[in-house]
Amino acid sequence: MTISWSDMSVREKSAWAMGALVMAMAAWYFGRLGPAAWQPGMKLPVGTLIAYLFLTIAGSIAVQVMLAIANRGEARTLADEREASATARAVSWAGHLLTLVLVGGLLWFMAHRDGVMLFHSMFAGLLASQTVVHLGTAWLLRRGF
Amino acid sequence: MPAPPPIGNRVRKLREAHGNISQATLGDAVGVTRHTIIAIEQGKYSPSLESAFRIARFFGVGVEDVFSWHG
Repeated sequence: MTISWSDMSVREKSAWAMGALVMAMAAWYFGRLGPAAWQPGMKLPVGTLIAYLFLTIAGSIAVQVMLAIANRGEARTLADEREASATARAVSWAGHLLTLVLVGGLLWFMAHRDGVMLFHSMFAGLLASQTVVHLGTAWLLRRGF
Repeated sequence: MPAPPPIGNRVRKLREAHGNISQATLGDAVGVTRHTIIAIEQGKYSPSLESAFRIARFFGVGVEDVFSWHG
């Protein structure tokens, strides 16, 4: 499977770029939290969470604006049947992953009774599922299905 | 790589036979992107029945003149 930026549709470019952004921001967020955040009895890192949300939203807008400028005509069109089908498959995979993480997080909460850890596990599940949506879509569009 | 779908097609040959029209032109006529036409020609994607009929109608031939089953 070869990856060439120039022969990608704007939606494939968007999927790769957003997948990279979500992974980078997840690494930044959990890197700032550090391993201590996963110990029972810790406080919720509200400041880091707000910074994460602000940076992710700003980064997403920047990515989409750059892609729209670089692909003016194509960016205006709706997803066609292949792109919509790829996204639907990736969303399905992400839904299964999110369900597994949510159930695991709830079982963890029942054992430890720590709401902050429950929050971290839910948040990690959301980030992982978003990564699967974006990179799964990009991979399907590149590989074929 | 996944096994290619057991559906062959002559889209590329038909494009070339009709004045070498571009993938973008065919895509616009069918209602899909140029990249989807490329994926169809490379056997990476099997179009919906509606798009298959649109492609055949664009070239003025029947669906079985464009697509064939290799299963």
